Amino acid sequence: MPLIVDRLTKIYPDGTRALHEVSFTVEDGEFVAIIGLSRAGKSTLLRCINRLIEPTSGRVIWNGIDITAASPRELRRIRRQIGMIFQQFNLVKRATVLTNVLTGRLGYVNPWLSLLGYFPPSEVQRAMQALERVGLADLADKRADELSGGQQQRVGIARALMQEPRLLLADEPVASLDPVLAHSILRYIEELNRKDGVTVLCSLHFLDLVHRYATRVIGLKDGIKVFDGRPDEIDDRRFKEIYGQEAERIGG
Amino acid sequence: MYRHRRWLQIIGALLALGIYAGSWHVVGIDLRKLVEPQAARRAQEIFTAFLTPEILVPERGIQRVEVPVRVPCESGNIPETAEVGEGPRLFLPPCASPGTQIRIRGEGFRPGSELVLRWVFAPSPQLPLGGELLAGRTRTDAAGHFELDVEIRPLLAQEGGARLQAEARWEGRWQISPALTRTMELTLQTIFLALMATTLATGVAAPLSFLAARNITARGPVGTAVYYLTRTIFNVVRSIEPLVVAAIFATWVGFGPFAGVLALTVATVVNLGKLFSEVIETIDPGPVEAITATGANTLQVIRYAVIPQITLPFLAFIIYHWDINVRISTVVGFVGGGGIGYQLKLWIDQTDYHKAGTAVWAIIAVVSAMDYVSARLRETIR
Repeated sequence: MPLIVDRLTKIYPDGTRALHEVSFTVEDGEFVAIIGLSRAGKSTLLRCINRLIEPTSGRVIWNGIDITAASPRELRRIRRQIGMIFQQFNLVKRATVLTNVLTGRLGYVNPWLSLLGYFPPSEVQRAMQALERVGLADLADKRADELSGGQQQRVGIARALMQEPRLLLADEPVASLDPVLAHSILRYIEELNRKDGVTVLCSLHFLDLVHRYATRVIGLKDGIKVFDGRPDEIDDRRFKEIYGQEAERIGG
Repeated sequence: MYRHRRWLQIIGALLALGIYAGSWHVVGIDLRKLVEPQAARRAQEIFTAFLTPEILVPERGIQRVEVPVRVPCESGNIPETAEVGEGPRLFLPPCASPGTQIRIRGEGFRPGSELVLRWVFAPSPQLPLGGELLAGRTRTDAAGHFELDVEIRPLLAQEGGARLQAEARWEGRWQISPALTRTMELTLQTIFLALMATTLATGVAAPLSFLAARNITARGPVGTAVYYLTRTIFNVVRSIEPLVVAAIFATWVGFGPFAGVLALTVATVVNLGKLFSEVIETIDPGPVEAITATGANTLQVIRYAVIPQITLPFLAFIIYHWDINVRISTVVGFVGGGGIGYQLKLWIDQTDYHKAGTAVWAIIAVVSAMDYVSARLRETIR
């Protein structure tokens, strides 16, 4: 079932128009890179899909359900199937790695028991498996802020894995990391996409990463969709459309 | 324009001058009062007393025996009688004639004590309230004996007769003064009072602070209304001094530590509520966003994204306020809030300045100790 974004618009209270009538459809299993300058609306677009930010108008339909019209309870049921990872990892720094991973399961477990800090053993086992998958099982008891940036982002991926997501939203997942770590993180995301069939929407800065991992590219400029196609279709003219006339291509 | 400003400045200056002159007059500032001979003497008395707080006092002891004496004697023969029994005994004639001297012996008194003999009169027509008359002074010897000749005065012949009282007084070992014991009890009470108030206030302030945190509550019109309402309540109640609140509670539930606890609790709820809400407003929004994105409900978001970030800052503020509350509770006692402050006020009112000094020093000690302890604790948890 596709993800349909239909004339999505977001105007912030201060009048900033972050998204303007953005429409596209993503089929299951696609790896869509979202590119554009800073403040082009990439983060806003991703956050409007799971309504961390309320869109001003337009619709987001996923699996035939209108997310933009969902009640709070429905919205939580939808969100728990949409994993999300962040540029700043957004881990709870004072909590252990294991607890951080377990929080990915909060939409599924008994809410009252979870408030007491209780997770069933089966969920703890699931969390350990997720950590094994990102190669951090031996760090489960460490505090999240003791980990390096790359490790923290892998914890973020493990947290998303706990949701058994059908869709993964990744907001600049490698922008805060050393370039050499970018590939290791993106390979985990690629594996989720290829092996588990998770649809991925991922905002990225570097075109070489886009060429290497994405199956499709959406370009945003000033909140407007200016490109939608295959990565190899981005020629110099398209590049300048997305990034502006002064921009110079580096890499990819 | 410039001229206009100049005039405003002159009027402003004159107005300020008038206000200050009026204020000086109203509050009756009279610096001479500080150094008037009488005032200076009182000040010296108070400060000397405060500097010599009552900490150790000698143990005081007293023994007293009374024997009736008939004056004058009916017969000439005067055998010596003895008051027998355990403890101190007196030996003296049962009667005597005015103008003569009788020998009084004592045994069984505390060795080496000061001994006072006096005549004690029962109420009579001549002496409606009874009375006392010094008969003599001496000291007991090493065996607890004494001997003293006492003159029989004509006054003793009055109706109702007189009794001879022997009183031995002594000062024993130095011991902790009752004032110090009481001070220590009440200082402890003050610390517990502050602890209870801080704990109760934390229980109320912690949930309220979420309502007063913009990033948690101010969503939608209802949330925004709740946010502003809570803020307003905090600000209004904060403007009422704890002392005033304490005076109100002291009339409501009666003088004592409970009134003090209630007053401090009210003051602490609003202070901690405001501080807590500021902590919540400055948390990293990232984890909140991430956990919301997993499909968690609001309580789960608070439990997993907010609480881990606020626990230590909250704890630091709680300890800090316990410290502040110890300080305030020493004063809250003055208006009926119990604790050491109340006793201090009583002692000052009774002009018992040495004892008041004990309380003042205890307050200084406990406040600085709490200051130090709370600073160290807050350093540790940082």
